[in-house]
Amino acid sequence: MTQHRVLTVLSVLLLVSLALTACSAPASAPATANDQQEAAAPAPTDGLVSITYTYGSRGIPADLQLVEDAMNEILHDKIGVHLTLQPIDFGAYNDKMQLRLSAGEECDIIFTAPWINSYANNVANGVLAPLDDLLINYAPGLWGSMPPTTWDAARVNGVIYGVINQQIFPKPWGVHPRKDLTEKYGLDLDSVTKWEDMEPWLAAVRDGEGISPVFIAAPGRGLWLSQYYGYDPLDDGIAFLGMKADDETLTTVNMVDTVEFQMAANTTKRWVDEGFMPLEPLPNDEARSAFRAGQYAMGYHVEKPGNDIEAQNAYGFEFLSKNLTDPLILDTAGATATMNAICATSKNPQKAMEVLEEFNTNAYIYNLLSRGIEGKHWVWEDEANQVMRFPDGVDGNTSTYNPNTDWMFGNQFNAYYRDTKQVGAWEATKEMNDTAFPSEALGFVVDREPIKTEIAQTSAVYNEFVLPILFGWVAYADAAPEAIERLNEAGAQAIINEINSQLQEWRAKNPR
Amino acid sequence: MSEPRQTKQSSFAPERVIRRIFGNQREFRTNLSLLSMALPGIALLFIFAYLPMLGILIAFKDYRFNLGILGSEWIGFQNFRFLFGTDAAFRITRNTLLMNTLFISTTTVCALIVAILLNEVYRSRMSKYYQTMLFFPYFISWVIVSYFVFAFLNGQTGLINQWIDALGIKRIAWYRSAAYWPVILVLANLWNGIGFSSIIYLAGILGISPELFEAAQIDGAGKLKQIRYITLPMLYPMIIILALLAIGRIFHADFGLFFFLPRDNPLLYSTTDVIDTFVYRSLVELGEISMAAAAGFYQSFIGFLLVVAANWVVRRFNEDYALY
Repeated sequence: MTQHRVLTVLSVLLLVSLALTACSAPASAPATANDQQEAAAPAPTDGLVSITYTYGSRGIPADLQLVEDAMNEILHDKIGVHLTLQPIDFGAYNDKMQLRLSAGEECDIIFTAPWINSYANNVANGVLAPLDDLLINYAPGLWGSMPPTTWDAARVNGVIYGVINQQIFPKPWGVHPRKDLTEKYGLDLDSVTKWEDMEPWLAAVRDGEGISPVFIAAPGRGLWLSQYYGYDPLDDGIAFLGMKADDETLTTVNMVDTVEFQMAANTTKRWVDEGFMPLEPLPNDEARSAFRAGQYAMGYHVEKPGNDIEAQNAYGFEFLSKNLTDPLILDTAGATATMNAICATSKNPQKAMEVLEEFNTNAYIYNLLSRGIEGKHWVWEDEANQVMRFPDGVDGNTSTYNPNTDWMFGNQFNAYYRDTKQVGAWEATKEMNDTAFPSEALGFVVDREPIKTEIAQTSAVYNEFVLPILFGWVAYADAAPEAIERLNEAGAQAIINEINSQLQEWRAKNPR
Repeated sequence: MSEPRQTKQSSFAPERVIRRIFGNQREFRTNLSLLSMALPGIALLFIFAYLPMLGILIAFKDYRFNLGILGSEWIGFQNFRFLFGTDAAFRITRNTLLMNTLFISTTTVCALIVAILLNEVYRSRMSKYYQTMLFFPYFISWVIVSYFVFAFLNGQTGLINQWIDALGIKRIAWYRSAAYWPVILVLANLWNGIGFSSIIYLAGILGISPELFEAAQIDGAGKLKQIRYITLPMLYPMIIILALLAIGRIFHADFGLFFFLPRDNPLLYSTTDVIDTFVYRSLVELGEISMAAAAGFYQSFIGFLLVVAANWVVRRFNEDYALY
């Protein structure tokens, strides 16, 4: 009898556990169902066209609905649109969007970029609507806000599929050291012109503070940043491929096989060996909190004007910022780094384009979306200079609406400044955009179709054999020959040949 | 004379099939309520296991979202090329098979031992506690486990490195040495899965008639002899079925385990890279659904062949133990 009961209990246990595990698997499914409901729920008033905007977000802001309502107050009357905001957490944005789009789900405006929810993939997969006519007819202000050469960067086979958000286009790679530590250990940032110039100070900080001074996150990061070394990377999805930005013959090379890559790898290896960079970096979130806790002394990133303020907002310390990239290079990936696009499945592409016109030319709407409601989420610090600040007692972390992703929503030059020290940063950025050295291949977009097998193969090899060199874990001299050989076996040369001929065809159609 | 026979023969086929599945009409009617309970399960199986099979088409097409599955262009086996273009295919196939074989064998052996031990203490008050403790890791996500493992193994503050430091031995760079990882992964998998498997075996052991053990005791068989001659032989069918089911999935590596525990570290790929992680890495940037589908099809196809082969071997060995 007891045995029987035990068996029953056990089988029930088994069943329950199976049911539990079965339930846990499709956890994301209810979320999408919710999203759909959200999209469907607010039935627009008569005569209004419903448009959705789907974008990435660091978590979902608490006051999202308030901001949406405030935006609709304007949009209802002005263009007869009821806008629904659909933020998706950044961690899930790429996968979720790719799944949604592959399922043919209807959408209107989506955020797309070379690095997330890939623009190239979306265009190749036929997800995005062609925008040329829409831009000219429904968004004249937006169309006129950028020169045709900039729009060219978003063209794939002659057609624009994405609206470029104006922000920093070239990549001014450089350093942002903590101000207090530059003073304590005597760093003269003005005299620094290259990575290597930072080394004496880094050594002093390492010894004095007992930390690995350079902020990097898992899995690792190296100093190889192609624009810093004068290369146009052409396609983020083909990591080994690049072209000297000033190469008039438009000849791509395997960047791993270049002197510049070797230099970067050697310096990175030295920084790791010397303890300037942690050998086993923390995951992103933890590394960021460690930075806030003072465990690092410097970061290196896109040192656009005002980046010291952005870093201060993120990590709490005062920073200095210096661009070390000279000359600045304007390449396709940089110009198209952040875009909003209209889905091919959209029922109202004209209205969607009118919304994009508002995002990009209406500073009020744009700042509502990127900063929230005046008096609630921010207050004027200096209205004449368009400087805002958080209300008293609120900061970036406690704010109930602080997406902090200006570059996602539209023309960043319409954004209010966050700090009086930042005033003028947009003009300086525009200046950088206009004076940057245009890559010879600016506007060229790789057609991956004929070489996708080789791209998949080389990408696996790159991750396995090149990343350890890039991250400074193994010496270039020891590991590079094998890595290059493996890349070639995986079809690197075929890719280079194909893209070289694509470049020549492109040049024939687009003379200099 | 031959005519009625023929009609008999031609008409019996569907009836026979139905009878084979549902028993004869009377049996069917008496079991109707029980059979109907299987309906939701059958429906789910059909919806989630059979309908999606149509998606296999994608593996042979140049899938374009706007053209749909049927509208996209047929391109034959082109999507499979990337798997076999380099020696990667060999390595990931080897790693997948080898690691899963290790997992299946270690889990089976250890779970059996644990189940037998649990059975011996089954009447003790602590047995529920042991079971729960063993079962609990099964519910912990690999993402979280990866942090546990990192806390043990990382180079600077890792617990194990601090221990071996204290012993005066040189620290080991775990996340840089691929050779250790098969062992680490086997241990992690064992820790995770042993509770689940051992409870299944324990249920099997409890199902063995106690009379057999009593008779053996009277005949003077000790504990070990009872295990050797009663417990294990009675469990054989169960062991074989579970092993067969596991072999069916031998080509499907546990993505969470292989992706998160080694932290997607390139230096460890030589021993930890399996089909699933390889496909994820090669395709996550490309967004090529067709190629991912091709890799999935390759996995399933080989897995299917392996089940058929394993079942055939078992059938040769003892027909009663075979799955079908």
